[in-house]
Amino acid sequence: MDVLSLDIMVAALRLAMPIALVALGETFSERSGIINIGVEGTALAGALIGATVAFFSGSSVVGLCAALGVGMLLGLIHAVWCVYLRADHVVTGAAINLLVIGLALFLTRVVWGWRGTSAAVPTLNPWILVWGMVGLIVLAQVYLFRTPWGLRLRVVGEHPQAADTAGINVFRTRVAYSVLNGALCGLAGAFLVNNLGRFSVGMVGGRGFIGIAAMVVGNYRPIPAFLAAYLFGFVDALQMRLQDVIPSHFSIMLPYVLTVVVLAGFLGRAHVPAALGKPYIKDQG
Amino acid sequence: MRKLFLILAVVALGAAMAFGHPKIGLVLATGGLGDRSFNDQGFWGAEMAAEEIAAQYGVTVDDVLDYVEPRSIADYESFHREFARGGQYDVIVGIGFDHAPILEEVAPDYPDQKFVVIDAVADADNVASIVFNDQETAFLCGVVAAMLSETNKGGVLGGMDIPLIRRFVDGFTQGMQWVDSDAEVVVRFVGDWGNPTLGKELSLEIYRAGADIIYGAAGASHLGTFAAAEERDSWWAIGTDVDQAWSAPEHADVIIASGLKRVDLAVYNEVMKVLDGTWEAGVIGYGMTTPAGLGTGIAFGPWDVSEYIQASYSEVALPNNVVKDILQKLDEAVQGILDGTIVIETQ
Repeated sequence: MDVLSLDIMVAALRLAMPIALVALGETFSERSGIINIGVEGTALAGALIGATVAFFSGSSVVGLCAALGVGMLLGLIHAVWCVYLRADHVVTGAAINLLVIGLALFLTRVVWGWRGTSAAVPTLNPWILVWGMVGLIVLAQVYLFRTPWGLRLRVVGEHPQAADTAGINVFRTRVAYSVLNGALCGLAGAFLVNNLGRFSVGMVGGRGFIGIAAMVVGNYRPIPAFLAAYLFGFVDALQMRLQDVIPSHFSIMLPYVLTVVVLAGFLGRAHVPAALGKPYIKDQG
Repeated sequence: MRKLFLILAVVALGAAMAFGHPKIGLVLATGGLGDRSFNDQGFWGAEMAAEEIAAQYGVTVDDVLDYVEPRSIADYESFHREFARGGQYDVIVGIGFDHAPILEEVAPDYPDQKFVVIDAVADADNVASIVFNDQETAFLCGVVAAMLSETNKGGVLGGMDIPLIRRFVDGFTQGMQWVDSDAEVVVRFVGDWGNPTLGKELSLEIYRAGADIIYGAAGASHLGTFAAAEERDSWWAIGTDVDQAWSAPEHADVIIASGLKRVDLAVYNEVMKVLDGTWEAGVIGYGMTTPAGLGTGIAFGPWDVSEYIQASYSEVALPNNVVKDILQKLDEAVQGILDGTIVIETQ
């Protein structure tokens, strides 16, 4: 069987794409101290608004910008809740996920008359986004570990008091990277729409959560997180080719089993930012 | 004084019941509305019945029809119980095979409530189980696939590897092989009824494995099959349950035919039977070879040939003589199924 063909590598890259983008965004966000499990919903919102705007404007580029915009907006809302109002990060993220599903069912019904799916929308070649993402990940790795801004970001997540003393605005840094996270999730959603040519409420299908897992496996580093996402995509592409040999009940599990096994191996060893999930309160500690 | 209130209350209650209109509770499958196939069609059937009731009682459709879209199978039980608890629904309909085991648990707790389940048999005294001869529909789709495939290989994209979808696979395979005994079928399962992203990826894999025409049987997931078919001129798709060249018109250039399954008719009929008092629990079959004699078929070609071979909105350009040949072969297959010379084996 021609399992290790170019074809499977390409399919794996397509499957890994949304996971890798979410993992990259979450890396930035968690490095600054903000957990966002709302990435699943944020990606769906990017797909939804991206598709809607592309449908009405007739331009895939305008749709892409709208997807980035709505992602940033959700990232901002999440940040405001977590940073200034000191809400629980997980609860706020879960709220985003629920909110977007409701919005998607409502909006698709109002706009297209079919709950849950859109009509065909204008698209651009999804491969532009794929190669853009690969470049972005290399840039992010350099940014995070080779530039002063990356250092500041890491300090905010490790020791916000020290960062504050050094004159770094902890609040604003966290908000900024949460917004960046939202933008990358929105981009993941835009990729899905450009790949399929329409919006569907199930199109993210848990890949946002897998993105968080990929980030943990990648130990909060962009390139390793991408490799983890690619591994998941590869095993998913592999199981599709193995369904003739292995019953689908088992083969479909493979990528998820792999995620659990790899996570169990990495979770203990991952270097979690010290101030992750804790609100920063000035004048305390 | 208290007695007076009691009498008034009883009278008021009686009046409310006398003037109350029938109500339908609908629990959809996890694929949800908007699959442009199975769920949407089930909904239309309930809507059609609700419109008739609404016109009769001078109320709105929203008053008559209440529906919920569970996001996971775990939600089914609570939705069915929620509908059944108040006793205000004349009939509760569950769309989808996976409702059956849950109704077997729930239905005995509400013996006076009438339930309907589509696509599976629920063994309970107050449940009507609707089962379709999906293999007949799939057989006809297989005939079309075999007549058109240049690689002599067809594909089926299934939602899950379950007996229901195996009926699709078996019927399709035998339909192809009835035309050409060397025909092969590639089968892949998504594991999800609502994820067209994965559906597209698996469809690309089926095409890569050599099939050039894919029969989608995966709810909203096989919307991805149509998107995949758009990528090559030589790739085609067959839709499911409704004429998907109509319900997904942007893909009418690749959807060459659609298997028909009148879920809407089945739901409508059950509601009407409840209203006129002829409703009965038990198993009710739909299909060419059932007593009902209808409910399965195919949408292909520009005109209706019989009640089983209906016109399609497909925009695939085929030479006239090819269309004619296929229609003839389809008619032959239908006659064969009806008179028993074609027996479709299912597991």
